[in-house]
Amino acid sequence: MTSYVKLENIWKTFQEKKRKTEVLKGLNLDVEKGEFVVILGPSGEGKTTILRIIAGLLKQDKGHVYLRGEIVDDLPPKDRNVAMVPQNYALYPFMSVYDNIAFPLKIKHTPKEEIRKKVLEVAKMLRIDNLLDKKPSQLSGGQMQRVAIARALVKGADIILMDEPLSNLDAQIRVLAREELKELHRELGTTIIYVTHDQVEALSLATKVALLHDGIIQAYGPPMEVYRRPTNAWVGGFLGNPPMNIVKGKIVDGSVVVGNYKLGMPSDYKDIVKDGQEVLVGMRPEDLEISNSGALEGTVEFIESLGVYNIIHVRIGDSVIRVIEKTYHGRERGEKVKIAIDVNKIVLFEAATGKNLLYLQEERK
Amino acid sequence: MARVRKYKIYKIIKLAVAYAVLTIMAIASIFPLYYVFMTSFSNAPNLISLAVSDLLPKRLYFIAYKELFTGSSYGGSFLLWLRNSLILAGTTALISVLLALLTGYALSRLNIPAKKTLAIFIYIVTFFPYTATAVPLYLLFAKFHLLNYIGLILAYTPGTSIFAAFIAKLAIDSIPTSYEEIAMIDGLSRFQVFLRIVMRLAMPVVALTAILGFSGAYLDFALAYAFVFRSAKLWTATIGLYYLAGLLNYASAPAYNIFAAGAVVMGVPLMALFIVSQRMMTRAYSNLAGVKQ
Repeated sequence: MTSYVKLENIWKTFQEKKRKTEVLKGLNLDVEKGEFVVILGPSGEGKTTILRIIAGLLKQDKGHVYLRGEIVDDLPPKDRNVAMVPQNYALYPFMSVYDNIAFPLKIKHTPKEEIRKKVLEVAKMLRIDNLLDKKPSQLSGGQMQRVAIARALVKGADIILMDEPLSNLDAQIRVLAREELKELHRELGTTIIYVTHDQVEALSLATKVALLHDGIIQAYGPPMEVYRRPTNAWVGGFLGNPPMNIVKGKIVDGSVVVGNYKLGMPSDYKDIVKDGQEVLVGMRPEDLEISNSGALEGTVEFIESLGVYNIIHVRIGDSVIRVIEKTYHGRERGEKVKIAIDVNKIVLFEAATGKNLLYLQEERK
Repeated sequence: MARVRKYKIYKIIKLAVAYAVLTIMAIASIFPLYYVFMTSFSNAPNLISLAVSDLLPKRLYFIAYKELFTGSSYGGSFLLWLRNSLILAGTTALISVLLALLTGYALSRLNIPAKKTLAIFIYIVTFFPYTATAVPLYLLFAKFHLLNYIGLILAYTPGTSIFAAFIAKLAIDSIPTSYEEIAMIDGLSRFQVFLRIVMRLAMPVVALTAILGFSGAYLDFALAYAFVFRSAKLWTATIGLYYLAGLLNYASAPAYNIFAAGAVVMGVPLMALFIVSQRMMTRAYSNLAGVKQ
């Protein structure tokens, strides 16, 4: 299958007063037509840089950008036929909402009648047709965001880049906007590349999520797959709230051993690991359960009550493991507890590289 | 209760002091204008006396204005000179705006070597009074046969635009780049973005530069005198008025009422420009208000 947006071995270094910062280090990304790809990563890792390179606002130092199967390295932004929704929406303050949405069409010298038709069409779709006469300064955050999306949609570009468009909204509107955005994508089938540092946003919106760290994509795939089977320890430790517990362990007699506790062996890994191998053991907090039949033993160190669930921090040896408890038990500090885990949900990483042993095995094949 | 009353008295005193200061300052700045205005309606060529009875004239005479608009001397007329001045000042303002905004944009957005040094250099240059450069400019432009309007515009614009460029840089610094980026993605070239988006967003600076450039050229006497004195057809309003009112000749009685009338007429375009640009400034600011960055 040919990809619609393709980044091939992208390198980008920023130079500021003789200090070089390598932001992208050989990044590869394939986006197929109609996908909603969310690039997720911590702040300052170059997420926006990727969008700017795709749009042509920035030129990569090395590597190639392909749009719709064609190489576009030397094409200026205006000829790439992509649309963008920036973080601050960038609605021109001196134009009315109507003129803002119409602006991309006016630049193309579209006939006035056609502009009117198209603007009204997208405005209706986004339910902002009653705001067309207003100035951006009279709009609320949620309305501005919709106008910005309308402006991106109106010129009919089939690739839309979004740079944290929901980060300026308050929590309740954000949830609504998220659903609307998803619905919009389902209706239009546009290819969307969306950048955020918010994992909930990423996991809920994406058809595919791409995790950016250290200048490359660390994991790329459907959100739940990336979540359940993290490609490496960093991904596991980044995704999830609270994130995956990652502790040092060892394989002894065909069983994963953490500290002095034997956990058993997840079936996926049975044929991959060797006895005596050092591993990192990844356990999702929601897969753990405090119960008397548990294999791990520790003391409660700290309790976070979040309403829906409680996060119990349990000290085992010199590491702390977070456990999610759905029901409130009134646990106290210093209490001795046992933790049980479904062995097959354990993920094992190579101790030296942090790579998931499963993927490492596939790479070697 | 006592505290409330004390607070009220304090408030009244504060207001009284503020109004007193403002009134004195207002009189100090309005009186000279009023004086010129009244002189222009006088029928005698001398300055009106400062006696209270004379400050409120019993009759308004339009002799000075009639003389100003109909009279011709030295082969030119006041209207011609005023037209010259307007063209000169308008062109200077236009070029100053373009030059200042382009320089400001480059200093703010583009990756040019030694940018900071350049910005500081520009900042320092703005401190030099431009009259200090009149003599070297005259000598230089005489060599290049530029002692004409082109030369004058060339001499006026840098003074304004270098100062305005620095302010433009600061203004453009505060405009988020995403406005330009979106416009570029939506199909404008960088220069079009500059003209249609950046200039529009930096409207207060555009207005300010236009005023500075216009009034600088419009009100200048020294440089214009040095450059275009040769031909009365080329005189600007300031030179023309000087001669028309006979201020050059100490022996003859200068016609101050004509001079005042000229000043009033010359003030009209300036005032119009101020009103327009002030509106541009306030509107630009109210537009930017409330935008989350």
